[in-house]
Amino acid sequence: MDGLYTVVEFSKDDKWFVISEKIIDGIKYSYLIRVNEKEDDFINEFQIAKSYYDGSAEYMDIVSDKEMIKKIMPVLMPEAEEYINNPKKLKELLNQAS
Amino acid sequence: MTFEEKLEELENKKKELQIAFKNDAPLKIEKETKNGKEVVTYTKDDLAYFSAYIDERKKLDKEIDILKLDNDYENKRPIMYHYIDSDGSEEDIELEPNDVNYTKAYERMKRFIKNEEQTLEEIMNEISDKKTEEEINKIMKEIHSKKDEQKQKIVEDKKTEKVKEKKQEIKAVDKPYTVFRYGDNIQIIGHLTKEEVKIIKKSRQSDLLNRYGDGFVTTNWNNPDFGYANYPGVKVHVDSNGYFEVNGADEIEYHNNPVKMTDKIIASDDQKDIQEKMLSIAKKPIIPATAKKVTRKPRNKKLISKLKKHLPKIILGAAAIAIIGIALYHFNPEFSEFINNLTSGIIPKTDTSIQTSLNNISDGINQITKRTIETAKETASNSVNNTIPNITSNTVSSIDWSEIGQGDTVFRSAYDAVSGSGSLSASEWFSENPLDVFNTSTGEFLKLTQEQLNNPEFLKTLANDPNNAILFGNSMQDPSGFMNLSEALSEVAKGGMHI
Repeated sequence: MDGLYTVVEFSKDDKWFVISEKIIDGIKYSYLIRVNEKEDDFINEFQIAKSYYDGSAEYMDIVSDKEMIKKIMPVLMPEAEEYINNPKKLKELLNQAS
Repeated sequence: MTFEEKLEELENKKKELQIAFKNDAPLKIEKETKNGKEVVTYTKDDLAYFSAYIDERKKLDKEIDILKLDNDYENKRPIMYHYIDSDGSEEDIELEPNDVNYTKAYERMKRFIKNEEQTLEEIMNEISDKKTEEEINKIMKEIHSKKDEQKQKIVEDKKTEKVKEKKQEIKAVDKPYTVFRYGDNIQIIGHLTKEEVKIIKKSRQSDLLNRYGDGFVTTNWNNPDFGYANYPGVKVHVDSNGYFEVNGADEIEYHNNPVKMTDKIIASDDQKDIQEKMLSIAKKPIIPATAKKVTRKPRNKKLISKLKKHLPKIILGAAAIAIIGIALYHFNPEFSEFINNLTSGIIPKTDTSIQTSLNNISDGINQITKRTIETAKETASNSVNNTIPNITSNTVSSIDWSEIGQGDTVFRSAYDAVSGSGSLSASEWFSENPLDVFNTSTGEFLKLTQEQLNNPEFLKTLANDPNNAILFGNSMQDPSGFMNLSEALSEVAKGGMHI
């Protein structure tokens, strides 16, 4: 898993940490959490990105299609699946998170 | 084009292709894609170089044969007809146009050409030695003459088919099995006996086998469980019912397999799985305009040490995105607030009120998202309807947007464009075609017409509101990015246009 836990930089003030990375049908998908410019703390923004390659250059596109997100997220974060299917458990997680 | 001209064109195409292949030169092959016709180039280092050559040669041969056949039919020349008597004896007749079966023979011959049954194993072996053009032509002639022999054995008349079937008693295989193609190799996968594999090949139930011929079938894979099907990247999974799922092949055909294959995703952790797919795509970059170049930085110990503590929020984020089904960025600053509020304990911790708040917030976001998406769709379809009449009417585009492009500062969302944060540099795929204007205080697109988007006076008034951001792109489904409207206008003004 090459990209796992690396930081991906779109620009100086647009940096993301790779929480999870999976290859589905030959294409790399990453679940990202935003980080601050100093890269020493997390910012609570999340997204799924899809990677494209042109030679050694990597490009990322944010997955915005609702159906794709619903399909891919359980693959990237299996831990989230039980919460997606179970609101009660999600509530417990909320308590834990705050 | 006349028949002669069309025939010459096809034969020249074929000749060019043969010469290119002989000289290891790149092959330029026209393919139909959803965007129309595209020329795809294969160099001799591509894995698909050989199979692309063979496919294109087969395609051209078919076109030439069909062209000649049509011409024969139009000019009322004799056409071959294979006739089977009720006692099973076979005969080949050349039918004249006045014969009652003449049209039938023509249609049958055409169907045969389209569903060629010949094997090209021989041609592949020969070609791999890179014979001369003459030798290749000689080989192709042999294949064609074999075709003639095979043409004489066509049985498509319903009566005769039944007779033959009765005689040979071929049963179809009703166990689940899968036929797939990886490059130019075909495999059959299933819990099959040798006899059953023979039946599958003979019965011609498989469209893949019909098109490629059973000369390509390499092995019958009989592994009862999950595993790799001899080709890197092609994975096979067998479920408890004995049904197969194949992932990673170029073409897959399921037989007697009732499981819906599209729903289950088989993922991999293996980095090298990417490369297989990448190599089989022609070297033209197909990167969407919304994709941004990224720099990878090495693993960060500080962040990794904070990861465990942050995990509940990360899972929460994942669940929230999956439930609501939106990407964080687009038109939803409320979502960031949502996560922040939830994780900083602003939501009261009583049982029912948490769930209610969660429902309210996600409903609210759903409404906003829904409205935005509906508006975007509506605008997209309106602008399609409006564009054509506008071009033919008196509307003249007064703004030259081409000043905007690669290197300019653009933003991924209207909110970023208006606040100035998260700026990006437009890539070479940025399309400077204006789509609409989004206002971040109302949270909606203005649904401007093409006329309005090109009217400098009108846009200048809109630009007085600093919350207006203009969206550029090929279409609403393929956007390039946002700019603050007044900045966009001053960028264009640099081009000397008087605003």
